[in-house]
Amino acid sequence: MGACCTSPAPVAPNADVTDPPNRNGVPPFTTTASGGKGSKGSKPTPASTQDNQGRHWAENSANKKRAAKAPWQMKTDASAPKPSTDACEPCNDQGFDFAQTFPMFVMKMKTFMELKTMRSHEDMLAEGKVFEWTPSMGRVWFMSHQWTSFSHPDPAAEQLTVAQKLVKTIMDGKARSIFATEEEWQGYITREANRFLNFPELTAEQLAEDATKGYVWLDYASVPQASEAEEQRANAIDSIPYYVDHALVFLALVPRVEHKDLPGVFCDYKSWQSRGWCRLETQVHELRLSTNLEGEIMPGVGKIDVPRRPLIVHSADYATTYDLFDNFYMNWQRKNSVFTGEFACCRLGHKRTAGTLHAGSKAADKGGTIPCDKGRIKPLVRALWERKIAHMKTQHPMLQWMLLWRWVTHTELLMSENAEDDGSADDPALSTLEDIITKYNIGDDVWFGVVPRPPFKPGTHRSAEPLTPCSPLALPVPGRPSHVKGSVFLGAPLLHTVGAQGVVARLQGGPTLGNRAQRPDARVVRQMDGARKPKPTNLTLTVTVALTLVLSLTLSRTSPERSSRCP
Amino acid sequence: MMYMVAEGNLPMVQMLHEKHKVSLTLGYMWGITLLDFAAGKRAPP
Repeated sequence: MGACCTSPAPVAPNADVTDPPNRNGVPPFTTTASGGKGSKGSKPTPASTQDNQGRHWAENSANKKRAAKAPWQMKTDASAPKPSTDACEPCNDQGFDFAQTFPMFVMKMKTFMELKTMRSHEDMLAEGKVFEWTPSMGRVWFMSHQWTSFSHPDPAAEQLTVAQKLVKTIMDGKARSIFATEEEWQGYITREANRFLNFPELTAEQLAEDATKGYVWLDYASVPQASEAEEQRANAIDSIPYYVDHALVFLALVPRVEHKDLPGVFCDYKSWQSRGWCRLETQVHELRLSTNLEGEIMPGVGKIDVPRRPLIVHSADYATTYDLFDNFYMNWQRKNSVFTGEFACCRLGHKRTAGTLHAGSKAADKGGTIPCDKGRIKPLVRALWERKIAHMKTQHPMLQWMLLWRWVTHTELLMSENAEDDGSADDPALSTLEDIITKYNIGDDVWFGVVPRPPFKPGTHRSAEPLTPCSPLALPVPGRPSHVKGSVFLGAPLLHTVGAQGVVARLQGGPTLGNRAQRPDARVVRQMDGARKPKPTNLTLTVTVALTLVLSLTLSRTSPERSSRCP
Repeated sequence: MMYMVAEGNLPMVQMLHEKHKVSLTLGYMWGITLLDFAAGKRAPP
């Protein structure tokens, strides 16, 4: 059981009236005694409900006994996805799709723009305004938000109005205007300003078309709300990864709106960020897969694209985002994991009393305890990480070197249930250097980003020859005992790192340690040499580089340690 | 070292540094002066 179960967050005096389900006929978030929304005596004071900010739709599921189904399982048999045998060809993504246990109901953007208020799935379905989405339709805008009352997601249509105005701005080709800074705009259209990855840039015109021809997934309209639809809601929860995974735009609708049943309590970006279920949606989005494109980002390395960045809508004319780099370095911390987020079940101490949680359902009157949502969705989140990493391992070694470690290093951190660093998120599989090498698939090829000797076969690209102090790449490092002793393991991390720097330096056009190392299989470096001939006009730089290389080679070949130990 | 710093895995950082004499400066590759330590992933000893 998770940490939430042993140390639940303080329960507000009226917290028992704040948990879920919305269902037809029985106003959710009410006690059977209080008689529903607005009942006197049941309204909590602002001071007592600081934690009771807007709900996430998934917490409306009463069917919490069932563990979430893992949406994706790693396949090890013959039916497993067959990765590309050629790094230049798009990899075969078959087998990486999430399971969908409830259809993805969407509405046309035009329908969304005409809404006066958010309407339930049943109403919209009856009028034919929501329908099942299929991949061929494309362009789904997944809208994540919090409910701002107990009985309706957006009773005053404040969130809806904000979303409609913002989408209208994008439709008009003025997407740039919703970002306050050029940096954020660049972050959105480039995903990560990185001259090596060089993702194709979005344009305001493209965004306008995506909005005009798009579809909207919105919880209240897309997921059954009826009390008898508990199983369907549970299936919809299991399908969250599928929904987010297939959405073109992930839009967090977070304008500052006062909760209608909790005076003084506001739903905003901060409260949205704090919700575990909202974090789950964000996590799914961040763990989406890249796609292969035509062309190369560097010789032998195919071009890829990554999902768009989240669009965080604060008001009708103001949205923010963060690029991949910022997300990786700033957001991915223990304190931001799904499991350190706020869950209603934890705040309630996992106690079910008559007339409280899931009031009106058969289970509600039995009393007792309710399972923790965290335990329920843990397999789901773990599967997200496994899928992402498995997919990246099918990609070119260069891309693995550049990107894979970002996800591998953060898997345990973002599965953590404790924001404090108590060591519980340390990977238990690691105890030796060999464990690290295994976990990170550290071979010369992956580390240095070079193209391995053909034919490239994913999973088998580790160098057959161990790195030794006599290897061509083993640069003598004066004063570094690890190298002098000739230990492979002592010198390897440094040498690998130096090599990585060298490759990067080469790509930047500077003199390289990788080149200096004269690595025989450094095909990328050599190709870069051919592709990047020095400009004739830059004579000074050319001479400097040449002298540096000659001097470096001379020093390395005449190193006393090397001379005495190597043939 | 860089990966272990990125993981915030202090025991493994210590193991690499003390047993294998790996320089802690290699962790700088991960971020800006061990930013993630400063940001709360793992407080340095």
